[in-house]
Amino acid sequence: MKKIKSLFLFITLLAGLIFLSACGSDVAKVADSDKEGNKEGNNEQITLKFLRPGPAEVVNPIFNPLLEQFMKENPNIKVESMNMGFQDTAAKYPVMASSGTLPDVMYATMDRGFDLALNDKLIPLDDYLTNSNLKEEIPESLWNGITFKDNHYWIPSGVGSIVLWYNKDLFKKAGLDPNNPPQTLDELITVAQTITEKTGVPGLGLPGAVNVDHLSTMFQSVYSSMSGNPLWDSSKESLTISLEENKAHAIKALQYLHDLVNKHKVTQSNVVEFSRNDLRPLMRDGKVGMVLDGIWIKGVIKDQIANGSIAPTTFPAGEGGSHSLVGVDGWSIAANSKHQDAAWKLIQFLMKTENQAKHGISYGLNPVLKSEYELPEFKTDFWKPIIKSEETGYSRIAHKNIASLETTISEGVQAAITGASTPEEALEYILKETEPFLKK
Amino acid sequence: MYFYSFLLKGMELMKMNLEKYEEFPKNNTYFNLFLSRGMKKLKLNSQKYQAYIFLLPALFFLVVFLFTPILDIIRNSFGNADIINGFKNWVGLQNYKNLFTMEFLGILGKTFIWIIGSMVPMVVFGVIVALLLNKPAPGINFLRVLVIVPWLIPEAFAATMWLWVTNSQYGLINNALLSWGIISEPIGFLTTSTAMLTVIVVRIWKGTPFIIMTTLAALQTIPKDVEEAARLDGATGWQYFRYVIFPHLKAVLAVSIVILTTWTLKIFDTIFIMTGGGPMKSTETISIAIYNNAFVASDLSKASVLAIVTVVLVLIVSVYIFKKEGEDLKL
Repeated sequence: MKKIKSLFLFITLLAGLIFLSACGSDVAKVADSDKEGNKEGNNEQITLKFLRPGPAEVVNPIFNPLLEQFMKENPNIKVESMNMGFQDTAAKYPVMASSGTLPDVMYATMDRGFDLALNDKLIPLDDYLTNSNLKEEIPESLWNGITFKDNHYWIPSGVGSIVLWYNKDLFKKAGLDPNNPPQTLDELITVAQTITEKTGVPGLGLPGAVNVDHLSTMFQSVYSSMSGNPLWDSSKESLTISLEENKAHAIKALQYLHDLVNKHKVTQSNVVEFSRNDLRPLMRDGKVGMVLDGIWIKGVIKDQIANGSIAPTTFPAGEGGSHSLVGVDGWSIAANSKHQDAAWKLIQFLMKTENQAKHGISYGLNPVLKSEYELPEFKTDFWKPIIKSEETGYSRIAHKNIASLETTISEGVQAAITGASTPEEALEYILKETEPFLKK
Repeated sequence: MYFYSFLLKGMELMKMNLEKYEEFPKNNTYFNLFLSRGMKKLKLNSQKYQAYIFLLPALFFLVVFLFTPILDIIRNSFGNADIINGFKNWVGLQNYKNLFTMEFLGILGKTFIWIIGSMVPMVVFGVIVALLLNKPAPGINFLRVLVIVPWLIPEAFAATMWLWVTNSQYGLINNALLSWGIISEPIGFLTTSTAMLTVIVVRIWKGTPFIIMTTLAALQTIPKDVEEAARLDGATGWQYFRYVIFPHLKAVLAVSIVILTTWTLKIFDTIFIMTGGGPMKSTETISIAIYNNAFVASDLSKASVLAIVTVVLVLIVSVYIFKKEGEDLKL
């Protein structure tokens, strides 16, 4: 009897706990239903969560005034801004998606965007785009790069393309014409050799670390410029280097990168230690003559850009032209958002020419809108090669496993440049190891 | 507060066999009073069951917050799971087949090198430094504080700092060696052949202070008369260490080694920041592999299998060391 009573008391306690939890849920549900009610009302107050990842000290000064202005123009919409490190998005976006807590308006990265889209965590924006001029305002090449399952899940806003940055002072010191940077992959070797020999400074900074996509980026840009083909075939959802007719180009690209390091010896020593970010201070300090990087380098070398000692030029062309890699991130709407129309309103506001220009210039991004190209800021010689490379470049891999695919490609390229594998073996490794990720 | 007093009371009742059950409401909270009266009304006098009831809320939270994630990892390891959708379906032992691949053996091998390469020097240096710091000397307290500084520095910051120190182009070590003319080419501290050694050195630098602290604390508990007796008996330095000091240190060292091995096995930030597991996967230990599988490949199943292997490895090390320590104490 005592046992039964004890058991009864236990069940009562447990039921009490469950009841308390359930009360909490009910309260939340009531609050949610209130929110739903607000959504239906036209002038009721609604709150949007907003996230632009990146260093808070850079992001907040750009977006806080913009969001203030938006809220002033739309008094019924309150925007709450969140902060997150850019590298954190790889781990945090999926976790937020899994718990249904993605912010209403969020900056989708290529690394995670396709995966989120495939799992219905982002909404396709094509219906919204039919009533907007953004489709025409943004170049077709950028839309192509993010077309996924015939839809567009984010609006291109954070675009960067790989160009060649060169140090004019080191050019002069090496007896080279500072206004005549290398235009082809062959010239790149010659010029890098001259700088290395004449100045003692490595002619070219090459990122050889695997932990980020940077090495894969180098390979894709060289391969595309040699072959004239993008690495990714979106219609077949496959890597073009798997086709027999392209394998020779891929091997040649791997050989080229290997030779830069080992045969011509024009790169910084121990390339595998360096990511693209690590090379930026070297470029700023004149410790390398040239680097292949995007506009993201601007924050580190802004003084040198201002005084004209460092300038960009288009990615050196190969037999197939100049086709560097283009990254296209941008604004998306989370599927868990209860205020998708208001979220779209905010995106349209952010994509206004002056707002997008402010975002791009302050953060270090390429111009995206055709109307931006017409702004005096972008009419300078500085921006010409960057805009051109955006038009001729090829986008990153549009696949949900983009991070794994690019990491695997980087591993293969690293094996080739360190001499651990021949270019042929490295290509074989890339094709074999990327296959499971393509099938997943 | 209620929960805390509830838990304490449950533990007290378990321990004291409820001899003073009738008294405790007098000096306790209104909640306890209410509960005890409720129990009386229900004529629940069995002290044994009442103790369990008092412990139930604590157990409930323990199960929810501690064991649920572990159970989730176990479930994911037997299923198809990804980072966005979580568990999708059961696949049996299919994920465990990964444990019999060369890739996993490589990861295990590197993890083994990482642990042994770090632990042995940490314990040896730690004990030596602790013995030196146990001697009375001017400024010894300052030195005792100084040696624990590396332990106080957050892992991520320490890794970034070492990254700058060891960098080929602008690193402190290379710049110093180059300017002194000792080397003509910068040393690559993070190349395929040197990266593992470099991260191990950083781990030794970071982990040794823990051994120093625990050993020093144990050394200070050795009675002075034992030391004097050993000296009077003519014990040499080594004999004194082997037969007087070491037996006093064994228990503390066993616990310290288990704790430090567990920490070392789980270290992620140092390696991730310094090498990302590369070059050529040369520093891809099990914790890096878990991250890569979970957050790069979005494969929670494979990551869960590796997490379970980690737990098993820690358990093996812990059980072995404690068992060995227990046997030694019996002797």
